[in-house]
Amino acid sequence: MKNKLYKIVAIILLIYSAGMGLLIPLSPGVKSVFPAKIQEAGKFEIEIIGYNTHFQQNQKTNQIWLRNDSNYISATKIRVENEFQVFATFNIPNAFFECKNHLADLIINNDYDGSFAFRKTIILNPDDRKGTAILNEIPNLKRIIKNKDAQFISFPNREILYESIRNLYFHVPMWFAMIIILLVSMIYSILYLRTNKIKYDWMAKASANVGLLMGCLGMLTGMLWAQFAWGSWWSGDVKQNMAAVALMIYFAYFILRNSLQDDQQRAKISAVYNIFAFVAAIPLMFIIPKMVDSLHPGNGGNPAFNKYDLNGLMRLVFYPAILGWTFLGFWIAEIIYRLEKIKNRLEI
Amino acid sequence: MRKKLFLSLILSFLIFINSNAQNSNLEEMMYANGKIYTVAGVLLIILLGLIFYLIRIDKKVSKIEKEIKNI
Repeated sequence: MKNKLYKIVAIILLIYSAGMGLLIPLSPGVKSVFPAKIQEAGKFEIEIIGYNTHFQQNQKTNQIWLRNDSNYISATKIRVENEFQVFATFNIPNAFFECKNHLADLIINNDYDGSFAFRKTIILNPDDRKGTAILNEIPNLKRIIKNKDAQFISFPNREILYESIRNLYFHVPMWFAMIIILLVSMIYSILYLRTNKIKYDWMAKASANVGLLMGCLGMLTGMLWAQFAWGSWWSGDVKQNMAAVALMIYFAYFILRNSLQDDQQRAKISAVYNIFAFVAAIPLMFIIPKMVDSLHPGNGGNPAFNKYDLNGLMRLVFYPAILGWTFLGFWIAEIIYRLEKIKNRLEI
Repeated sequence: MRKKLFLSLILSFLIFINSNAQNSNLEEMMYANGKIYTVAGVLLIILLGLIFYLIRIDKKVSKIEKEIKNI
């Protein structure tokens, strides 16, 4: 095996990132609440189904609140059925219905799971009675929440995403790897134009080929993720459209290569085209989506993953994943390059 | 021949997913357990893509091997 080191690094990083990415649990969350609608003041028992929660293990420290605006109501009685199921009894006063919102949040806290919320889960009043009531006698409002975060290592549990947040370690690195590999491809093209050595042309072709593979995989995985997060395979999101255009540009690169017969001519023309292709792909994928509205995080005013959602643990998995996939890409590119070299040596 | 078979396999798989995704079990499955099957699907796509690519490279190598024999 040639250039062993980076290949071994690639294998280790990929095993590490895929393993960590799949095995680390999500932090606790709430799956469902019943009843979802409360019509009038009174005593209510609410059934709460948790996800990755440990209600039974921490029976003594469980605390449950309903929140509306800044008004909290503490559960008067908590009955734990099992680790994932708990019944909370609330005494809901009249004033609670007269707050601004008609959707109450559910907040749960215990020593092991930390505190987590299910936002806007209970519809409070079907009539449109809007007011600005502030509850005066709120039991246990001042109770201090001890642990904000879960006491076990976990990925954030986000609404809509849930477990599919793990796609961050598989879908996103495809694009990062693609752009790094295409950058290297462009550098080889420049080197070819400066030195006129045909081997740089082969290198540029091999890397562009792998870059395109990564791009296609990124596109397909993105479509699958989009179907189950945004609700359609292709929602015409700017970043989706622009990435598709960028991929087309690179497909055209290979069509151009195949249409030219003479070696030197092909190398020269495709090198120039490759530079243009990369320079065109950057604004298409990274600048335009930032300027207009986009569903992708980090674009068009959407918060980026790294601002709110990406915790330190996710970074520890995400960055190695990028490196791993990039090195794997270079590995494949190297094999294609060596093939090209052998072909040429044999003058086939 | 083999390539065509492989491509038609992938195509039929995609059509299968698409036709099922509208109303039935597969979609339910994708949403189940906190959408974990979406991750599985993504991994499957990556695996299929890499295998497809590997087959292409393998073919190129076989072609060269054939040429060497002729020389």
